Amino acid sequence: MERVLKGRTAGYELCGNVLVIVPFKELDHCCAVDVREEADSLIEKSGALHLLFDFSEISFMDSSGIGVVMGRYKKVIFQGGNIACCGVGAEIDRILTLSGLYRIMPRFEERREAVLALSGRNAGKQTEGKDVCGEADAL
Amino acid sequence: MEQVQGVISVAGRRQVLKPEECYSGFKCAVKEEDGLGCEAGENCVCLQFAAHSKNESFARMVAAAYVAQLNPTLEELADIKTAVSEAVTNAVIHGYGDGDGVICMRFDIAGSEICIEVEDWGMGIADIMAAMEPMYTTRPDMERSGMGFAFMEAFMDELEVHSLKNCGTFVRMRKKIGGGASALEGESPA
Repeated sequence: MERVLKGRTAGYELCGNVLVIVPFKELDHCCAVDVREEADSLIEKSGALHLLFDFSEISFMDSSGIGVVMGRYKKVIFQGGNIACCGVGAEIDRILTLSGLYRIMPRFEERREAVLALSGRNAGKQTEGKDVCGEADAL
Repeated sequence: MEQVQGVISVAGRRQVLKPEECYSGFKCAVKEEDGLGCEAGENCVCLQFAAHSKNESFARMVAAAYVAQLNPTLEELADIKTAVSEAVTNAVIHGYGDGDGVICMRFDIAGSEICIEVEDWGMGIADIMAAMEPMYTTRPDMERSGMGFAFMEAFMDELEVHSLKNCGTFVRMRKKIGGGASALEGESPA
């Protein structure tokens, strides 16, 4: 796949073995359907092991977003992958806290540190500084 | 004939309503509707829209616009948008099973308290108490998290759910606005 892709309701970036998902529309039931389809097809195509949800582009998410995260978690956990999130604003933080999602999805401030933490767990070689995607500007 | 059932939750404590306390306005039970169907009705807004998932964002934006007159904080605004989004999403996917239907939404204000009602004339809820349990969902196939009612309960002061099988579901939520700093005025001076 291309390293950076723009979908209908989210952007995607492949950083080593981490697929970064950046929803840019409000993550409700309507958009959740799109993100789910796009993310699942990209996980398969790219062979990404881990997922990183970057919430910096959205200001709204409801329980449908929780469903999207949990569904993707179930998908990657069986192949030994993990998930994490970054760019969490105050509104999204309340939803994530209330739903208890932080128990399975650690939160990071910056995308760079999240990618490093995820890929560092079982892919030492790829974390040597090269090709660790930095900022959201690519999207 | 099926009996209408209702549950009220105040500060997280749920209680089953007596039959006479339950909503009696379901279209199948009542032929005529007078006015907008609001309780107090002084500045009531009532709107009906197609039960389409694209209208979920419309619904929460209308809710945010309506509650603006109470000068809510950003947090209160976010709470109301989330609660409305959950209620409308429930109506779309559970009430009508993603099929055709109409959702009726009413807003009303009494003092500093906003009252929001979301009604559908869909399939109804078989067991309201079970449906209100966090993580309970009848649609795991759609990746529903089962957090809808839990979010409504958490973000609003009061939540009532009334349902009549094969007839519809009526959700009423109340929240007192004020006390914190206003979203428009920013932080109040110390």
